[in-house]
Formats: sequence, C-alpha cells, structure tokens
Amino acid sequence: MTLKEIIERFDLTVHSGEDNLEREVTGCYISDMLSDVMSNSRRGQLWITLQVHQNVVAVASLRELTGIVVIGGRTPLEETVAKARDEGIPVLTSPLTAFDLSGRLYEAGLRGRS
Amino acid sequence: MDEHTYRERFTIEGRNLQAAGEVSSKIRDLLKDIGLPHDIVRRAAIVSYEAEMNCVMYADRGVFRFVVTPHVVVLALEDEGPGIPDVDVAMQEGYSTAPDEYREMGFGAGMGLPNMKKNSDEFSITSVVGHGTKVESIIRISAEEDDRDDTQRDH
Amino acid sequence: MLQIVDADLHIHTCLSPCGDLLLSPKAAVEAAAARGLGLIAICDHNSAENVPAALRAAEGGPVTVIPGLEVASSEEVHLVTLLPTEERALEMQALVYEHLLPGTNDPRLFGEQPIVNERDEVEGFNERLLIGATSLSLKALVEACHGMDGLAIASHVDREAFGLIAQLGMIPEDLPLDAIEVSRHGDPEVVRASNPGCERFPIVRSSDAHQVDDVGTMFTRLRIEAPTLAEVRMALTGEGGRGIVPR
Repeated sequence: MTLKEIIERFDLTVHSGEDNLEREVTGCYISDMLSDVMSNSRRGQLWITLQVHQNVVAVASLRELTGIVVIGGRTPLEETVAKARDEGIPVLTSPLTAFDLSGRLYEAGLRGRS
Repeated sequence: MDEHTYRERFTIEGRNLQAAGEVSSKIRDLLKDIGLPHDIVRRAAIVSYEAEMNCVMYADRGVFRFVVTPHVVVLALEDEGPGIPDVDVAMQEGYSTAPDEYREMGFGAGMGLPNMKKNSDEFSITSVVGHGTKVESIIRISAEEDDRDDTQRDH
Repeated sequence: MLQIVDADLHIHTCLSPCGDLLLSPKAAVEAAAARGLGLIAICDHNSAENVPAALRAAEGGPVTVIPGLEVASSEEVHLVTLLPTEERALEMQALVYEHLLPGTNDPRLFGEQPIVNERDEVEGFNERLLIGATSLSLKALVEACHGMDGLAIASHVDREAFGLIAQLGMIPEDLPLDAIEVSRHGDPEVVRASNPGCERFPIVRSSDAHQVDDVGTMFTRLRIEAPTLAEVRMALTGEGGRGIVPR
C-alpha cells in the first residue's frame, strides 16, 4: 500500500513531503521513544507517534521511514514541519488515538515486521 | 591512469554555513571505504574540514580536488574570494588573536591554517588579495602508517 | 566574602548534535565573558570531549568553567550533570559511552560533532550517536553523578522534548535531584503551580545555548563566595548564606 493510499483511506492530513507520497509503506511502527525508533524501526515503515518536536524528522530520515503520523489530534510544531519540508519527509496527522488508527491499519493488512 | 588512483572534485558554495562540513564528510566516508588507516582518515578529515570551513566562511565559492593513490592523499582547495593579505601572519599559531584590521576584513578567530599544516606531511598555501586562495595538503600513506604511534585515540 | 555571580549552567558546543559549528569551546567562553557571566557549565550531549578545551580557554580570564555533560537517560529524559573536575567529567563520559545507543553519527542530520581545542583547531570528530539515549535510568544516572561528587539537574523541565515532566508525567518522589532547570522559554511560576511537590527542588535558569548568540540569554544569579561547584551546591541548598538571587 502506498502512503498516498493510506492518507486517502484513513483521512490523514498532510503537512509536508507532498512529493514523496507515492512511496510503498512496508509496515508500521508505534513508539514515542526516539531511541527505540532508532534501534527497532525498519526502513519503509510508517511511524505512528504523539511526539511533535522536530527531532522526529531527523530520526525518520536516519531510519528511512516513509513518513510520520502524529496522532491524537496533536499538531506538529512549526519547526518540525519546516524541517520535514527541507528533508522531504511526509508528516501527517490524525485525530484518532494511536490504538484506533493502528487497529484500522492492521485490519487493512499492514503489519509491524515486514 | 593508474587503476588504483581515485579522483574526485567537489564544488563548495561560499557563505552557506548550512552545508558546511558536507564535503569533508564525504571525503571522510570515501577514505574509510577505501580502507585507509584510522590516523590518515582523521588527519585528512581535519584538513578538509578546516579548508572547507574557511571557504564557506570567507570565500564566494571554491573547488575542492581530492586524489588518493596507493602512496598519498592529496587535498587541494582553490577558492574565489578576498584572499589573505599576509599569509605568513595567517600561518602563525595564535592567529586567532589577529589584530582588529584583519577582523574587520572578515577574518575571524581560527582560520585553522596552522592546524592544516600540522596534520599534513606537505602543505602549501598561496593567495592573491581580491582573487582567492589555494591550499594544498599532501598526506603520505606508507607501510609505516600502521605502526605509527596513534597518540590521539578516537574514543 | 559573598558576591553576586551570574551563571549559565547549561551551554553546548559544536560537539553536540545540532550544535552550531561556530560555537567552539573558546567561542562559548568568550561569549560568556562578553555577557558578563562569571560562571558557565559546558554540557554537550552525552560527551565531555570539548570540556578540556573550554577549561583551558577560560584560564586566567573572568569566566570559570564547570565541566559537565547533558546525558540522555533510558526514559529519554535529559539530565545536566555538573562535575567538580575534568577527570570526573571524563569518568561520567566513560560511563555514558559504555551505555550509549550503538551506532555511527550521520553528519548530514546531526552535524559533524567536531572536537575542538582551545585555539579553535579541530582535532577530530566524534563518531558516536550522541543524539541517542543511554540504557541508564534517570535514577541510576543521578546516583552515578552523586557518586562522582557532581550535581544532577533535570534539564528544561518546562519543555516537552526530553523534559522530565513531559517524559514521565511527573517528578518522581524519590529522585534526589539537586535542582530542576526551567528554560528561557518557560515560566518558573507555571512550573511550580502545575507540579505540586516540586517545591523541594530549587529552580535554576539556563540558556541551553546551541549557538553563540544564545549563550547567557538566560542565567541563574547566585550569591556565592567563589565560582566553584561546591559553592553552587551551597547556593542550591541555601547553606552558609549562599543562595539563588531572584531577578
């Protein structure tokens, strides 16, 4: 499933990285601890988190993740969006909780370990 | 051309502090990939970094040439910029306490030239005011490098 | 005799990931002097490799440097550790390196992490992932810091990113911090009001400078006899007439 399809199907709002939405999403990873994502995420995954500060962008870049979904109706900080634009990283938002969004993604066939 | 010679050329945009360090980073990665001894990589990284920083901070633009043969690493940076009025003064240790007139011309603390020389086996610098500066550093790779006492250990 | 000393106890150098390349140890000391600070602490992320240069750059000048590190705990809480000597800071560094997330730095994302001497000369580059966290809990870090005669201060507790309160939801009852730090963006009154129980911790203010221009933009005014770590400790506990002067 491409990021674009996920965005449309689950009604996510796009804040950055509009040129990189055709990427294939290989799976999903949920974590709010950056060190955990740095150790345990896989390339191509979509990262689901409540963290809104700009360090998430560097981590997503480092791990070559397809994008970041900030959940719970939270808004990424301005500097986060600015940095994400520079890096071409898609930052998306959803009003759903991490659990609710993940449940739906799982039902749609996405998994944690690719 | 000797098949064991590696050459690369990079352009550097002046006054772009955002990108500062990119070229020396690439050079460092390349030297590591080639498998050169740690100390050679460290010295070349320091020389390229100081050279790149000078170019970014003071010049309009520069061209960085980089050659590796089985015997030497050559790092040469030629920039278009204000040039250095008195190279001998600039090469002195402690140049960072340069007189105000130099500071007003844009030469701030630490042009790192003595540091570049210290980390090179051969080092040359020429400069023409109003035109630009060229620095060239040669670091020798030899069988003895592996036995060299590395007093500056990477932690 | 007691005197007023302005202290910025949380300043980074170019070594820290996302630290400005122009913020060398010497530049940090000079910026502090220009701002009239008498005391600063150099606290790079998970490393003290630029501390020796800062100490030497400050020698004979008006600014005293306290060796420090800003360590990331396993809970991703940032802790400023201030140590009494260069040797102790290197000891803390050794502990941190032993427990730091493995991996190599990516200069494109986090900067070159240059190790710079007191003459602004680059001596090497730190290849570790200093942006990462250690596997040491906050409690273990505070204890280790105290074991090295240091002071442990929770960094920028008012901030969401890596701040104690945001990460843990509260200030743990049994955590023997020496102080909590409120950043220049925060309001100590708000922190006090929203965290009942935090009255037992003195509040210090620091710049958390990652750029030359930010050095000293926030500082703690101390009433101490001399610019040393031991005196800072007394000021935090209010011992011997020392203290934090409200501004």
